[in-house]
Amino acid sequence: MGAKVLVVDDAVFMRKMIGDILKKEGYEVVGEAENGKEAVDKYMELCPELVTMDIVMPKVGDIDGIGAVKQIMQKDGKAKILMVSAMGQHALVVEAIQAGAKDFVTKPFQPSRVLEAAKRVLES
Amino acid sequence: MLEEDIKLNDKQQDVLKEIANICAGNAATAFSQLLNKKIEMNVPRVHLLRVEKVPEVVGGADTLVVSVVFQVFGDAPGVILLLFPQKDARSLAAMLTETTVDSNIFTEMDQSAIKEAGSILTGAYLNTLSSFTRLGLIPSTPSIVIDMAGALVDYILIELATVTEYALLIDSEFIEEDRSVRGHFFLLPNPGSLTAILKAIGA
Amino acid sequence: MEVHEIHVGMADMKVARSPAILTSLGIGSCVGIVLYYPRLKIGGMAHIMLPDIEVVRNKSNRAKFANTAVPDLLREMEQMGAEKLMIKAKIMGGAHMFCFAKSSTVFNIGERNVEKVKQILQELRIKIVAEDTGGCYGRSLFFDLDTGLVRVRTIAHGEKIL
Repeated sequence: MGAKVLVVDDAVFMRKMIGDILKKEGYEVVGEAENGKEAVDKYMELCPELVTMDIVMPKVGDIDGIGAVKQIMQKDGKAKILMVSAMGQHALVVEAIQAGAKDFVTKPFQPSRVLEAAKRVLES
Repeated sequence: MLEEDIKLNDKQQDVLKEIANICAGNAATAFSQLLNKKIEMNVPRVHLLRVEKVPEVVGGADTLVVSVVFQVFGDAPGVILLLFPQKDARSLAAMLTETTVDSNIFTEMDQSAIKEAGSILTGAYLNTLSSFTRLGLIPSTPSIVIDMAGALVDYILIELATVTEYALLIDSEFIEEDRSVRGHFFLLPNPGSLTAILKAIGA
Repeated sequence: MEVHEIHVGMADMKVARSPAILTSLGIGSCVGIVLYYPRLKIGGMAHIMLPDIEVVRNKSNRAKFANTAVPDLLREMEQMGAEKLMIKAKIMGGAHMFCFAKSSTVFNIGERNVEKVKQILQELRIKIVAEDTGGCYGRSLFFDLDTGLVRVRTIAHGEKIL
């Protein structure tokens, strides 16, 4: 069985797209979250091996994508988080990496980009 | 309340068109990667007109459109409006979600896909504009509205109408290779933002 | 015979006598107001964008504002022979086009437009006999001066006759 993944994005379309790419390659999508707060809760509940995290999401309970990275890293220093960002969010990506995220992919992406990045993060 | 009218000379119009061309070019590339199809573009147009004439430019007051709207924050605030005819929005959603075009209903997944396409176009456009002008530009999260073009823009124009008589629209058209998706991308800078953009590029 | 349609654009107003249909298309947060004087079948329509002319510097277009468009409409109708006592009003529009939009100065603009129009009508002692306002959707208005009825058309919220 492939690695367990939690897919976080406020857009249901993106969650499906990322989920489908990963599933085709044998990953197991154990959960989805649509905001930072839900991401932290689901991380604690599901203990995924990999998290894909959207950067720009509406704040819920004052946690956005980067906030979620910080909280997850605080709770589990070994968490493996892959950021998903749109173009023009470079400053946010830098902040996320500093907060402990391992790598990032930029939208729009080819499936191969996501898979390469997922592999890199899991091997890190 | 501060009131500021928008003025533009020919040279400034040309410069704006040229910048819009480059920004839209990058947006088209991003869009094309998303759809895995070729995207063509028309030469951008700069409309400077009375606020109350805007519904005509966006296709007619009671024309049904599918629109993704962003507020732009930062050094040059404004609004971005992406408009698709209903049929084209259906085709776009179908391409993205790999479903068929047969109904007129937009499911939650369809709407999410259209918003995401909008985010990608907007991100690429603003990113280019930002690197040109060195102005910080941040888009809001997208909102989707499926309604009459006039009703959609009046909300945006009302805000503008409190400070100015005129609206500036930078209009770029994207056309997918099979002609099944045509969309308009409008940037409406606030009056102060136009000054900031022109100043940043020395025009 | 095809009845003559008179188009009222955004920030515009028109007054006419039957036979005619006054139309205003794609009203969102703006307010459409119609005044009707049944005896002579005189009607007026305004497509108002903002509540108050006093807050802007450029006051050239009085049809744009509630507190100038409504009195102007009334005056023009009176000049055509309408008597204020018998004039009735209907108001439409004032939607929140972005129901999810958060704290913004224009968040309540639709509502503020409606409130202001009502206030002005009250000051002028004109009775509102029908209202279709609010919601999150646009409206197109077709005001038939023969009957005094307004057909309100929407994309996904049906059609009403007021």
